[in-house]
This record gives sequence, structure tokens and C-alpha cells, in this order.
Amino acid sequence: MSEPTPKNALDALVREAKQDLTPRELDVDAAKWSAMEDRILARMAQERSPLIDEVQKDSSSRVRYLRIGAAVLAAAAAIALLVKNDPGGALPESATSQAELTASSLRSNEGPGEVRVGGFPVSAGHVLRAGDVVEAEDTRAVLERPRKVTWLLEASAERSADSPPAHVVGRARVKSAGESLVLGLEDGAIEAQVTPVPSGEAFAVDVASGTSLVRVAVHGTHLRVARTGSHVVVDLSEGVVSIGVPPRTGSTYGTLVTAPAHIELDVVDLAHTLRIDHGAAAVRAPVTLAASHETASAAVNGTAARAEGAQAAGTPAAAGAAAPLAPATVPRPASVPRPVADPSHVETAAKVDPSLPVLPPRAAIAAAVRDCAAQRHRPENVRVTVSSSLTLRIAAGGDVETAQFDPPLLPEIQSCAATAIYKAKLADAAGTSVVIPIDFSY
Amino acid sequence: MTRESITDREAPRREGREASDVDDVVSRAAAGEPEAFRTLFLRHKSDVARLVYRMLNAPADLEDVIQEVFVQVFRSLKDFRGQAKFSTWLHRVTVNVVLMHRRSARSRPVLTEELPGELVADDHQTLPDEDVDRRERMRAFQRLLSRLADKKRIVFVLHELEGMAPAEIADVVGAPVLTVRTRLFYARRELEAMLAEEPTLAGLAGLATPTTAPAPPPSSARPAKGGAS
Repeated sequence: MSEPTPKNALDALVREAKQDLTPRELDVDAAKWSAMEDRILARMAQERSPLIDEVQKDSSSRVRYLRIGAAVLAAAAAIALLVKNDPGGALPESATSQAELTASSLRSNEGPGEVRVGGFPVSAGHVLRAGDVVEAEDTRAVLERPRKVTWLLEASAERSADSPPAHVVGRARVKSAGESLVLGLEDGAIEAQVTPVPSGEAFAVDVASGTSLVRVAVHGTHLRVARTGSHVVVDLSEGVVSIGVPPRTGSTYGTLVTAPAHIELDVVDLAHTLRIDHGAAAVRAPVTLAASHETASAAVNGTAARAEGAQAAGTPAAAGAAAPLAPATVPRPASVPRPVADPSHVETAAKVDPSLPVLPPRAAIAAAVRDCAAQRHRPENVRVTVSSSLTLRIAAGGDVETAQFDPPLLPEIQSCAATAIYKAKLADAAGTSVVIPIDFSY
Repeated sequence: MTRESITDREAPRREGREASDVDDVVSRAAAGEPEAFRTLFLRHKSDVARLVYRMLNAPADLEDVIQEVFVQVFRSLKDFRGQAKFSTWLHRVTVNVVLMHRRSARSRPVLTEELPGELVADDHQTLPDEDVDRRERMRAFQRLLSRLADKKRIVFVLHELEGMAPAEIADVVGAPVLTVRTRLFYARRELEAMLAEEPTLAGLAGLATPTTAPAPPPSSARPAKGGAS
């Protein structure tokens, strides 16, 4: 006779569980299975078209290369045109319907870790839908809803004592992907650049803890929402947010907070814990999150956003609008020699010639880009608005090693600005990256 | 020639036919054919439901999670390249969805205190004492399982309850076989320790008699006592 040891007891329990640990009620209820099947097929039908498009895209490498070629062409068209006399000619219909189907798409993974959706690693271009859970582990995921919001998800800098130290995960669920994009922040931080809308809420972040739920809703702004357990920190660098309990329908009625503001609250007791500091110094510096292919003002005015380059190349503007634009590196002009990593050279190069007009290098670069763009021919009734970021990698002595526009500008503008960019000398340390926002209209 | 030897010879052919049928259905479903996906659903729904039920310990969420598994299968089928068996891949999807659900549940607001489906059903049923005891034991066992860390619970359920080999589990969880064996060892050790703390299972020693204890488990995977290898 065997001993009644814990091992034997566990074995006996396991044998019993193999037989009995099953969902019996579900097994015998054909109606439940049938209803579930209907629900799954309905969701499939809803998602079917874009998925089949993706499958077909994958099935032909030739088609894929052609698409890449088209995307490259479209990438040359980052300048959006604001057509004054065409307020009704907003987005092409195909682009609009796609935007409604999808919550966002992954623009980039900016770190060593991986981005997962539904537990599976995904890469740039992956489409998010309502109900999806997106995770960014040891990385920053940058996502975009065309013409509406560009947002990032990452682990929060603040970690609670019980958080695992080895893995840092930002996690959010897409709660709604209708007119408003509503995200449930489960862990980490979300930072977003939201294109202002004339009415309603374009974007909202819900933070839940136990039975409590708080919504940070925005019409158009740049904000960051980070949570550590039930403690929430909101940094508002632009615009206005409303912080309150999510309504069943309509707008969120809560505390209106205007930028700049550093807000702290506890989800469990919003009324007694809400603290607002309007000091600009208290607000965390925003991450540059320019939309890849449009400007905020275009959407505010409800006017068409079309890509200048696409127009010039004779391709539909929609192609440029739908395809995410890859950042473009600006080649160094032959007239500007490469920097030499020589300490003596560094010292000499860092010296400022007093005879030259004193203009901060970053401002000088931005001005050079503006000048180059202003030289472009444009029709009389067209106003051009540009929004991009220029990332410079700094070499020894403050020289510019590489320069990259994201989204890219027209090639001729980039070439024109290259000389000024590569001649600039910055005070930043070698090996660092400098981001210069490039925003202007002409 | 005996009947048995004929059967033996036909077995690989039959398996080959079945594999090719699975490939065909999977590729048609991946191409967006609803009828093929429906076939996959009908074939695998019970396996998925059982695995979700065993890993989740939340009967109220069971249907939602099963549904989510099949939606994820639909979305991800285009990425299934056939490197693993479809059933292994399906297990991986199921495990991922369950884990996501559990993580999300931790930060989701609890609006009402819900009774698990089985408890509600029991109120209206008169069950023989033995059945009641058995159900109580299973609930207690599920409570113990839910106290295990996710990684250990997954390998324990897949190996001990679903009968999967450690090598296949390694494919599912994306970890080396040795790691799977180690997790199995510690999962068992923790469960054995927890048994004593669970009042419902206090009388379990009676189960471990020779009449209810058949052959030892098929696991060659379990490390020797005292070694986590």
C-alpha cells in the first residue's frame, strides 16, 4: 500500500482533474457554442477586408516591392498642402474608412525590446483594432492614427516596489476605436500628440484601479499619462484636458486643466488627491511626436491634406497619406568635409568667430530649412504647412555626423538645407542626438 | 498477415492524410475562407475551451476568452508558417490570450462580485455527495493552480493535465526544454506544499490508496527528487 504523501495526493488530484476539470456546462450547451461561433464570424467579417489585403500583400513579393517603391515615392512628399478653397475635399474615402476600421498602426519600435499585440511580437505597420492589448517591453512603441493622433507607449520611469525589476512593460488596451480613440492604460505611460478637433473628444486615456476609473480626455493637445499602480501623473505641455469619470456617452465632465500643467492624482480617490502645478518647470519635456504625413492645422480646419510630392509625381495624394513615411537621411554635401575626430581640431572648431552674427545653431538650421522651402514654387492659392523633426547625430567638436528628417521633406529641400546643416557646430557632446522641430508655413 | 500488422502499416499513411487535411484547412482559413475557419473552430473549440478553463480559474470570463482566442487565431493565421504543428501553435495562441486576459484583469475595475457559473448552477442541483466532494476538490485544485506563478502554471497544466511532452511545451512557451522541466519540478513542489494548506483537500490522503492510484505518470520529464536540473 502506498504512503499518503503529498506527492501521491497530488498525483491522485491530477488524475481526477484530467477527467473532471473541464467546462462541462459549456461542453453540453450547443446553443452557447453556436452563439459564440456567430460572434466570432461576425468579428471576422468586420475585420476580413483589411486582413485579406494583408495576406494578398504578403503573397506576392513583386507586389510588395512595387508597394515599397510607391511608399518611397510617397516618402518624398512630406509637405502637406492646405488647400484654402477646398474645404469639402477632405480625406479620400478609402483613407477615411480605413481610419475608422483601425485604432492605430505601429509606426516604430524605438528600443531593444519588443512590441506585442495580443501577446504576439509585431513589427512596424501592424494594425491595432478595438479590443487589442498592446505591450511594449523594454522599448518604446510609437503608434499612429492617421490625421488624428500619434502616441507612444512605454514603461513608466517610476516603478512601484512590487514591480518586477528585470522587465519593464508598458501595456494598454484599445477600448474604443470610433471617432474617439480611447485607450485603457494598464501599465506604464502613454504620451500623445493629438490633432485638435472642432468638437468632441479626439482621444482619451482611462486608468482603472479596483472599482475606480478615471478618464483623461482631450480635444487636441500634447500630453503624457503615466501610472504606477493607482497613482497617475499627467504632464500637459499643450492644450486642455478634462479629468473625470468616463461618461456612458458624450464628453467627459470633470476638471478642466490647461497647459502647462503637471497633474498628479490617485485613481481611487480623484476628488481628494488631484494636484495641479501650472509651473512650466514642473512639466516633463515632451517627446517629439510629429505626425508622419500631416499637420495639425489641416485637420482643425477640416481641409484637405495632400502630399505635395505625390501631387508632383502624379500619384494620388491618398497614397502618400496612407503610407507611413520612413525617416530620410540627409546626405552630406561634397563641399562640406567629414569631421575629424582630433582633440586639437575639436578645440579649434569649438571657438566662435566674433565677426560672425550670433545665431544659435539650432535656430540657424531651422531658418535654413525654412529658406530652402520658401524658394519652392507653389500655386498662388495654396498655403503650405510643414511639420517635421530633424535628428542630428553629433560628432567630436560639435560637428554634425548624420542628419535625418522624420517625416522626410522634399528631396530638393533636404539637399538645399544639407550645406547649412553639416556646416553647423553645436555645443552638444559627441555621440549625442539632437532633435530640432521644424514647423513652419509659407 | 494479421489484422494488427495491417493497422500498423496504415497508421503513418493515415497520419499523413490527416496532416495534409489540416494543412489544407489552415491554408484556406488563412486565405480568408470563412467555411475553412468554421471547420477549424468546430475541430478545436473543445480543446481550446478545456485549456482556457484549466488555466483561467474564472468561469465567468470563459466564453469571452475562448472567443478572443479564435479571433486572435484568425488575425494571426497568416503568420503561421507550419514550422510547428497547428495544434502546438494553437496552444501558444491560447496561452498568450489567457495570460493577456489575466494581466488585464488585474488592472480592470471590478464592477460587481460575480459568482462563478458553476457555483450558481450548483444551487439548483441536487448532486450525490461524491459528486459534490469531487467538485469541491476540483475548485480547491483550481485555487491552488491559480496561486502558482503564470510560467509554472502553464507548464504544469500543459504537461500534467493536457499530456503534452516538455519538448512541445518548450515550443509553446518559447523556452528551452530544460527550463520547462525546471518549471515543472518547482510547480509540483509548490503544489505539494500548498496541499496541506487547503482545507478542502485535507482528506485527500484517502485518494492516494492503491485502488485509486494507477501507473506512475508518463513523465520522463520530471527531474529526479531534489534536483531542479
